[in-house]
Amino acid sequence: MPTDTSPDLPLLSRLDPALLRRAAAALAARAGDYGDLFVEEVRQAEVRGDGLEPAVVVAGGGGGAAVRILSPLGQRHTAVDGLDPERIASLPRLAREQGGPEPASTAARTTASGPFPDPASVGAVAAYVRELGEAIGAIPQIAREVGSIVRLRAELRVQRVVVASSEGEVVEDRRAWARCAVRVVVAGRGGRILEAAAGGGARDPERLATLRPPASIALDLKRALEEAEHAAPAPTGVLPVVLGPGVGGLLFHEACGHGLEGDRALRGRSAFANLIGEAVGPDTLTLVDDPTLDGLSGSRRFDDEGWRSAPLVLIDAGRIAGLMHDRATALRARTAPTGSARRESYRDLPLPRMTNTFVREGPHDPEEIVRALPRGLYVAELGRGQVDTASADFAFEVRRGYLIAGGRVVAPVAPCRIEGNGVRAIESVAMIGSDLRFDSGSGECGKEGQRARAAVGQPTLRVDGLAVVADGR
Amino acid sequence: MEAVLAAARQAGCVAAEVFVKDGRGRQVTLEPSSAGEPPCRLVSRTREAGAALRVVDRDGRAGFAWAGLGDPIAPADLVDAARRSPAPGREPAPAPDGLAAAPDLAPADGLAAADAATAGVAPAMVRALELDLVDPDCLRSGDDAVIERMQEGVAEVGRSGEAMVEIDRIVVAEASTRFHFATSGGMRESFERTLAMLSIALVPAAPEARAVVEERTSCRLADLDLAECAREAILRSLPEREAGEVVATGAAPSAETIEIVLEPRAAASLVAALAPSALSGGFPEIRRPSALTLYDDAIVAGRPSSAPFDGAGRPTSRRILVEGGRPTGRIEPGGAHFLRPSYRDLPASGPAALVVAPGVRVSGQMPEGASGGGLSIRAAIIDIAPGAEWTVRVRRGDFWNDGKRLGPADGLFWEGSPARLIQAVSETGDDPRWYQCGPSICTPSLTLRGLSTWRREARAGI
Repeated sequence: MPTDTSPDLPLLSRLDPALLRRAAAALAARAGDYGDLFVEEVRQAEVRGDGLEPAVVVAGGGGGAAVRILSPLGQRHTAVDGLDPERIASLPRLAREQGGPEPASTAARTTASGPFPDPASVGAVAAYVRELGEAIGAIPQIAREVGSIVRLRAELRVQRVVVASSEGEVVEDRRAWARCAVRVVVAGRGGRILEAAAGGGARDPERLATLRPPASIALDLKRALEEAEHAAPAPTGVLPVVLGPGVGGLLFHEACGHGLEGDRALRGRSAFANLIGEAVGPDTLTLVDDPTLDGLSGSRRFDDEGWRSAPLVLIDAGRIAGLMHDRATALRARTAPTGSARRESYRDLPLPRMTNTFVREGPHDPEEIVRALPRGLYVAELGRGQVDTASADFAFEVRRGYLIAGGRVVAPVAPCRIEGNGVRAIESVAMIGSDLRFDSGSGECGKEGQRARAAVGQPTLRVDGLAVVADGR
Repeated sequence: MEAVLAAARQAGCVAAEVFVKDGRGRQVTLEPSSAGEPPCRLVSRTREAGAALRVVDRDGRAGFAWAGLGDPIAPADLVDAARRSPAPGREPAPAPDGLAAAPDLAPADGLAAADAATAGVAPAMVRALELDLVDPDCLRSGDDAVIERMQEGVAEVGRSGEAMVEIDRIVVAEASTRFHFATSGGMRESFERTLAMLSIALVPAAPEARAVVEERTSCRLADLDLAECAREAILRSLPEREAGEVVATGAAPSAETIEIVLEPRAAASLVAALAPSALSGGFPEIRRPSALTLYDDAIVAGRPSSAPFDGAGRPTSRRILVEGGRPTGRIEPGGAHFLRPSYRDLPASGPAALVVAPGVRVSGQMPEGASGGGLSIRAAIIDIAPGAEWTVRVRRGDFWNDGKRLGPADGLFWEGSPARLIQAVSETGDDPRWYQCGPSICTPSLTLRGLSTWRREARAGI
């Protein structure tokens, strides 16, 4: 779990837990109602590169609180900015009034300190981006191409949340994550556009620099550009696809995980909703969402409704084990929450969603998985994807792929897409490797306008029957 | 704001700009549940105020900081945070107005320009009144009244959905926001704007139907037509009808001479597909004139995309992007509107609203090609790959001849170079309508002639 090393103080040292408990208890005025109070403070620093230099540094912060009343017929949510205890205490009353909260005065008010990230952290992020820019500038393709486009972005976000429920619980959690993302576009031979992307994430800027040094990112970009330059046309048609360790987790996150979210299932938007308890894949396939794993971007001690985090098995030995629920979907489905509630901020309602989602290790040697294939596609990096959770149909860009021939990975191939169906893809998982790896930590998941950090993981894995379609570019 | 500007001056900043956004909002969501379950209602009310400060220091480096205003904050703290953030190692360069600034940074450009433009700006409040941006009834109706209006959309889907589509969710949101802007150059402006937003998401209830989201925005909730929005969503969602019979029997007008009318919603799909190239300067060059004229318009009355000044404090305007099919401008740093979705965001250039100039073709006039007959398209999937080719696929369309409907044209598609598609726009209608397809888009129907021969077999991946 992230350790508290920054100077930001726990919210519960600044807010009276008894006050929060009273406010939350006041929300459940009627029998059967549930209410909770969510208090949040965010300190954020972001550095955006302009070309190869850190050009814009954004520092900001603020806080707010929201109450929610939950009943079988729906939810009422009222959010106000600021951490003023009196204002927080008045939230239950505001939530019951149709008119909603009145604006607070923004007239001159003063305090001794602002809600900003500490200068050392901002400086560390900027220094990281500067070093990254220098490393990328040394990549031959970028150094020689005047028209190269380089997009650098790094950020540190420290979020503190307190959840007080009408059932008497009051918990606090701190989530800190530093991440970076780079995208480069250069002109290759014959005017072909070559693109490469890389990134990384860690609990703080110092760990980011250690776990994902700028030189390693530059090396990945250099290799990706070189391979793109010499890529052969992708094989097309229905082929066995080997998903390299780490990257294919994105496919399971999008094509399976979202379909196992309780809200989608309750709205008839999940191809998996009617398959609970059924065997849909090999007994070597187990898919888990685990927010307790150390050092991953989706990790947290509590979810955003105050439930203590715990691993949740979504697919157990090939059988659909269950859905992710927050309190609202659990209430409607007449089941228990699974600690899967996430909200981007106090301004948003919680949604059931993934944290760190991964396929567990299987019995096969990763090399054996490739060796067993006379012809296929090896996917080393996936890009953007589209998934219809109702049908589980998906399409993903393959940013970096290789031709498999004669049981060997033989050559990089040009960008292509893989298309298929999530349910059938699970059925078609043929071999699972023993080399579980997680993504680099720069990923985010978007759902209904709310962003959330999420990690994906997977060992080398072979799926048969996916369609490989050449990219039109 | 004055205190922050004074603190910035005291700290040695040569230019400073304060942006404050203060607003309230309500979002009501209706989710008709699966059979046997009562519908789920979500009502969310928010209140948020925040400030952003941009500064240019003596060395010409730009800094940016933001803070929520729900808690007290000392002006000096905001200034300190912004001054701490200037990027290290950047060589300053002189800005046009003599202020030291980093001219290749869009936000710094905007900051310098805001100072320079201050003298000639009409008071924003006056302009805001002219733009009619405020609905006095915003946020005054009760939740139940809003939910009752949402039932208009539910009823329309029940009436017109042919039991092939279902409502996933309907969302109605309202917001009332006050914007304040002050610069070290003397600009002191503010205005208020209200927003009403409608979103209807449909999901398939039959094979071949599609999941779609249809959205509308206005400054007034009363302007939003739930039934109209639901009807357009249904047309985009319903399964395609078989076009084979009309085409196979030869009853369809000749593919070479056919006149095609994209009804306004289908035309909006075309504008949305063209937008990236129109905004980036990559608009294709055409050989013969087209009737397509496209504006980026931030001063349309009654629209939430309008404002008296943009996110960098500069007066807003209407800019021609495409005239007669030929590109005349593009969205670029320093030359366009700066958008600022939140006080937490740096200003970034982008379109306010994309508006196609209307013409004289009478709304509802049936298409009649040179050889007689035409095709009316009410819903289409239009995809334009940058620098490559476009495809137009009819989701819902009909052949017409002599004022009579011949039969469906669903599933037909065209492909070719973007230039040919733009050249084919030969007439615009007198029926402009507003849609929210990513950006706000206002377009009338568009008449296409001389496009190419359609195809019936869908390519893989379309």
